[in-house]
Formats: sequence, structure tokens, C-alpha cells
Amino acid sequence: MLHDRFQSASAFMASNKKLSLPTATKLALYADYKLATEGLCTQSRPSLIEFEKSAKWKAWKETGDRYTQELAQSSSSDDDDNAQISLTTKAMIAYIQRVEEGNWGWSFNPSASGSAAIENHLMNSAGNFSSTGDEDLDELEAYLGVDPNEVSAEELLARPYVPNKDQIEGATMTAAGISTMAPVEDEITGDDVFETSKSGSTEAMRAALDANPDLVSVKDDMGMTMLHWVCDRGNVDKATLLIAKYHADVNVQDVDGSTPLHYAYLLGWPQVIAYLRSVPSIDLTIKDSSGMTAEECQG
Amino acid sequence: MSGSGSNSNNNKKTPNAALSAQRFEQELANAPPDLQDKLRALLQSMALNGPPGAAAGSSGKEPKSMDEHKFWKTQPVVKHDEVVEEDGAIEADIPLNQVRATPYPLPKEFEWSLVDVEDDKEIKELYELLTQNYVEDDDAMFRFDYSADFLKWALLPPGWKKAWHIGVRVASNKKLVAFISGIPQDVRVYSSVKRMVEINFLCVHKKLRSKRLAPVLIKEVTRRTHLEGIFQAVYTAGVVLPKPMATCRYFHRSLNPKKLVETGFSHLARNMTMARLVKLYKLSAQTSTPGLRPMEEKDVATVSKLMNKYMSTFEIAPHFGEADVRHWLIPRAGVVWAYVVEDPETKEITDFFSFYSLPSTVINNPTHSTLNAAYSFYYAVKTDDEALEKIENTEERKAARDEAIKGRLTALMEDALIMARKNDFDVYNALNLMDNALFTEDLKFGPGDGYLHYYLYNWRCRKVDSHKVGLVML
Ligand SMILES: CC(C)(COP(=O)(O)OP(=O)(O)OC[C@H]1O[C@@H](n2cnc3c(N)ncnc32)[C@H](O)[C@@H]1OP(=O)(O)O)[C@@H](O)C(=O)NCCC(=O)NCCS
Repeated sequence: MLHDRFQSASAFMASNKKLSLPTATKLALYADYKLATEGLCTQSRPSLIEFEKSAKWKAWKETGDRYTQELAQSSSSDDDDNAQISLTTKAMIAYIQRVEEGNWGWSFNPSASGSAAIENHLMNSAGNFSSTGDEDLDELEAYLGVDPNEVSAEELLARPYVPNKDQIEGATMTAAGISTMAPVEDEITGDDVFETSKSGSTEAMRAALDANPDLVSVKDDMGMTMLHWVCDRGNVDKATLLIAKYHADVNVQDVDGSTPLHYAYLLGWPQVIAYLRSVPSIDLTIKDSSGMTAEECQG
Repeated sequence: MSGSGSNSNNNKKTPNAALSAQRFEQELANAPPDLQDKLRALLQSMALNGPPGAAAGSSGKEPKSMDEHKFWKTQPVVKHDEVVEEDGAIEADIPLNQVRATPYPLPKEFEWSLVDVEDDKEIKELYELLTQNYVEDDDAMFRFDYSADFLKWALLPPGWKKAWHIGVRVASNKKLVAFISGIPQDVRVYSSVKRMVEINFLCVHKKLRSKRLAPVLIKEVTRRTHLEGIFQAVYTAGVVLPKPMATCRYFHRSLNPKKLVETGFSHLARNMTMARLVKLYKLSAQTSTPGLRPMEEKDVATVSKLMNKYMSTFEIAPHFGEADVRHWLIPRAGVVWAYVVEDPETKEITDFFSFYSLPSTVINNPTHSTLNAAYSFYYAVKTDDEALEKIENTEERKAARDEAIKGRLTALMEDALIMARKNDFDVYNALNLMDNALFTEDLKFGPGDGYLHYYLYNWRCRKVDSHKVGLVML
């Protein structure tokens, strides 16, 4: 089937020489055609003066090398859909795809190609139609067997995967059984001046502080400063910015007596811990209300 | 996963949009079963009266009408609008000589191929098919990561049949592109006990989806179970098909809250500190139940008794023989964990619990590659039956039972969480089936965005409440 489609597409291109295609497209088609019909390029490099010849040679050679590499890669990688296909198959599929995507007027008509194999296939499928009388089988046949485009399973598998959007709606994550925590409703209580320390980019936080430099020492109802929040979330860039540029107090304590370093230790953020400890004014002896130093909070 | 992500996004964008039918179906799960059917009927009449396409327009997730189920409408399953009065088979058993003798035909590019689960090479092909294709969308956040040992455990229980490990390969290159499996299991639904087949691991290669291959797989596994003289099946799915006999919701208990937030499994409320979250979910280092120890071979007989007694309180439940208990519950490294409580004085086994491991690959995350999830499996708790028998009033007896189970079960499940944490699990998952609702709140489980629907093939029965479901499917 693939072969018939390839024959038809290349015959179409051969009879439509007048199409004015960009050189790159022509070369790509040439390379795929050669690879599909003759395999890898074994000819020696033409002289550089023969521009056209050497451009063609280069396309054939390089595309072949690339495909060979890709086939080797896909056989060793996760996605082994392409593992078992040959270089010729890959080239034919690529050629057909180019012709399809070019929209130059080619479409495949299996009955017109007159190939005995296809006739046979139609016969067989027709046989199945009547013998099963089964809608699902008929439909499956229609998709995979006598589809007007005759796309074979092998070819479908070798094409890059494009998620089918309709499908995603039907097959949600729960179809596959992976449930995650349902989102919690955030009760939004007015403006949150600390927002930029809790989430978002370092730049956004810088902008908020430049607009209002006093923010750096503001405490929320839990006694937390922006530096506390940043250390809770584990963002070392923001911590550095708060201390180095806006002179945040590194030893500030919240209502539970916790310093930013207590947070960093409790959550185990190694980079934040290392940075805070490198700040000269850091006091490692501060205890929180349960009597623990930051280091003792280490989870 | 992105399914959930897109759900919540949709909700945010259109906060006032009418309840989608999918959402409706989920909310329904919390209503009593008889009310559910009435509400469903109401929903359908609304959809009929509304402007054409109005109901389907919002997200495309509405359950299809019966007529649109081109496959399922031909099958012996309960119809969406059917209200079941009496339990029983939908179609009569088929005499063996009338069961189709040959496999359903496939287009000639494909061929049926039984997967030899005991063969290392074939099981590897199977888990590659499942891990790479079990979810549809590419921007999913998690993907099941089945291990070969897990699949062997799931597919080779007592009485397993190779004929029910059904694969489809591409004829030319032998690539495995689809799979469906069945395992035999005695299941009781209300008062009827039937030999059934549990259908699981239905999967079609991503690039061959929506081509009606799934119905052919389902028909082929049905034919093969008919050949063995079995005419009922049980299966679960996240999608709504005709027609759920029960709907359960997932609940999740964070064991490693920091990692769950970092991987996007759970969300950090704006005013919540990670520090508070970590403290909230902190578990004690040691279990508290005296005499708790891993289950062993010598416990099989007692555990079978405990299990079947406890299972008798549910409306759909498996019946486990000793061979089943041995297979499903004796611990297997990396697959299933089971613990029994041995009374330190009498040496009697009084309770047991179990959980299994089904990790997910975390996709495109800079720090984490795997999410280790434990799933609650079977358990049984001791109740003082003599005392309960004495309570005459049914309501009061039920309340007393629940009260007794709640205390005992909460303590046991806390130990289960501790054991799971010790074994490096990040989250402990449980559906709201069996008596799980008695402990989920106290043990800080949060509701999930996933629902699981239970279905029966060729068996009609009244709807079962989630807390009356005693069957856990992998
Ligand atoms: C489930 C899966 C095999 C369906 O294949 P598909 O190519 O999407 O669907 P097909 O075109 O072949 O068949 C569609 C028919 O199968 C039914 N179907 C879809 N998912 C189903 C499921 N999980 N169980 C039973 N039937 C299902 C559809 O309802 C439809 O029948 P209908 O027209 O009567 O409604 C496929 O989506 C898949 O592999 N998904 C990932 C794995 C998964 O979710 N497995 C199921 C776990 S419960």
C-alpha cells in the first residue's frame, strides 16, 4: 500500500514538472526519492563546479546519514515506533508527506492505480464486510484498510504523533486512572503585597520592591517577611536579591520565632541554606518558640 | 495530569458556566443512588429541551446519549436511562457450540497475538506499550510506570489463562499495538456469587486511536471468556460509559508534600507555607499498633477468613479463596505490601491491611523523575460481633459498628501511612470505597480530581453506593 502511494505521488510529481518549487523543497524531494528507490548514496562526490549535481549529491548523502542516525536512535530510545522500519520505508513516508503537505493537487486513488494487490485487498475487505456484518469491524476496515488514502498501519505508526484534541476530551486523565489532588479554592483576601515573594518571577519581585522599598521589612499576620516566604518556597535568587539589594534582615523572626533559615532547613533547600549561611550577619544560635535552632529543624 | 489541569482552567475561565454534565456526573456520585437516577433523567430531559448542541458545546465531555454509543448500545449492558428494579443477567448464557469458534477478523495488516506474560521479552513489550500509550495527551504531567513484576502480579493470579492476555500486532513488523486482558475472579453482587472475568489494561497505541479497535478487542475478550463458560465481567474506567453500577472518588494523602507540590501533583494555597504543609503531614516515626508485622505464608488461612467476613458487609465484593489471598496479599518486593496484627498475648491474627505500588513517571520536571504512589488495597478490621449482635435496632447497630470500625481502622491506616512513608512513597491513594470514608478526613486525605466508575457486563443490578463497594481493581 505504502509502495503504491509512493509510486502515485512520484508519478504525479514527475508529470507536474512545471510546479515552481523552491530549490530546498526540490532537493528534499530528490533526496527522499533517491533513498526510497536506490537506498544510501554510494557515489563519489561530484566536482564542486557542477553546482546542481553536487547540491543533489549533498542532499541525498546528508539526508541518508540523518535518517540512518534517526533510525538507530529511535531503536535505542523510548519511542520505538520507528525501530523496525527500514530506511526505504522512512524515505517513502517522508516523500509522501512532503507531497501531501505541499498541496500541489496530488491525491491517491487506489482503484486508478490498478495494482493487483489493491484489487485483492478491496475484494478481501468486501468479503469481510459481508461476512461479519459488524459495524465496528467495517469501520476499522474503513480506517485502516480501504481508507481512500490507503494509509497503512506501518505508515501511521511511523508518522510523528499528533495528539487528537477530540480524543483528549474523552480520555481524560481519569481514563488512565491517574488522579491528582483536586485544586483548593483560594480565598483571595484583598491585595497581597507579598504575592511576588510567594510566586512569579524574580523580576516581578524586583519591580514591586522598587515601587515600594519599605515592603522588605513588612510583616504579615504570621509575622512573616518576604524573606521568610522566599525561603519557604526555596527560591535562592529572590533570597539573594532581598538581602544583597534591599538589605532584608536575615535574622528576622516570625510569630513562632522562626527565622528564614529555620524555613530553609525545615524544607531542605540546600542552595538557600548555603546562601543564608554565607551572609556575614547570620545568627545560627537563634531558637524558635519550641526551642530549636535552625539546624535542629532539619527534616 | 493535564486532564485535571485543563479541567480547572476551564472552570476558572467560566466560573459561572452551567455545571457540565461530566461535573454533574461526578457530583452525582455523592448523592444517594435512587436520587442519582432521578437527577440523571432530569439532566437528559433538560438536554433534550435545550437548544441543540447547548449541552455538548462547553467542553465536549458530556456523556454520550445511548444512541451515540455505537458499540455499547449493541452490548448487554444497562442503558443510561434504565432504572434497574431487579438484578439478573441481561442475556442468557450461550451454549458452547454457539460461541463463535474463531477470532474476530482484523484488517489484514494486523494479527492477534497472545502475550506470554511469563516471557521477559514479551512482558517488556507489554509494559512499553502500556507506559508509552496509557495516557493520550503529550503535555500530561504524569504517566503510569508499570513494572514487569507488577504486571506479572496483576496478570498471573490463580486460574489465569494465557488466552486472556490478548495482544494485537502489526503483521509486517510484529510491533505490539494493542492489548486487553482478563483474569478470573469470583465476585458477589448483592446476593449472587458469579464466576466473572475482571477486564483490565485495555490499551490502543496512541497513533491508532479512534479507529474502533477497542470494540474489537472487547468483543474478542468476550468471545474468549464465553469459550470458558463465563458470561459476566467487571471492569472500571474513568470515562462514563453505559452504565456505572458504582462511582468512587479518589482521595490522596500527602506523604512527601514538598515533592507533591514541586511536581504539580498538589497545589499550594497562596497563604499556605510549605513549612506548615510539611508539619501538617508529618507522621510519627513508628507504628502504634502492638503486634503489627508483615504478613507471611502461615497467615493465609486466617487472613482469608478475616477478609471474607469483612467483605460480607459490602454489596459488590470479591470472594477470595486461600490461593487468591496467597497470590494477592503475600508481600512482593516493590509490588505489594501487607501487614497483619498479631495479638501479642493470644497470638491470634486480628486485622490486616495492604497496599500496592504503582509509580508514575513525572514528565518534564527538572528535579523529579518518578512519583511513588501507594494504593490502598484490601484490609479487614476486627469487630466485637457479640456485642454488636445484642443491639436490636438496625440503625443503632450500624452506628455502633461504624464507630467501632472507625477507631480501629483509623489507627491501622495511620500505621499503613507510616509504613508507606518508610518505604519511600510520596502519596497514599484510596478510593472512597469500603470503610475508607471513616478515616480519610481524620488522616488528612484530600479529595482528588479523579473518579472511577465500576461496570458490569451482562449483569443488571441496582446502583451501589461507593461505601458499599468492596472490590478493588488494579
Ligand atoms: C481506552 C482506549 C483503548 C480506547 O480506544 P480508542 O481508540 O480511543 O477508541 P475506539 O475508537 O477504538 O473505540 C471507541 C469505543 O470504545 C469505547 N471505550 C472507550 N474507552 C473505553 C474504556 N475504557 N472501556 C470500555 N470502552 C471504552 C467508547 O465508548 C467507544 O464506544 P461507543 O461508541 O459505544 O461509545 C484508548 O483510548 C486507550 O488506550 N487509552 C489509554 C488507556 C486507557 O485509558 N485504558 C482504559 C483504562 S480503564
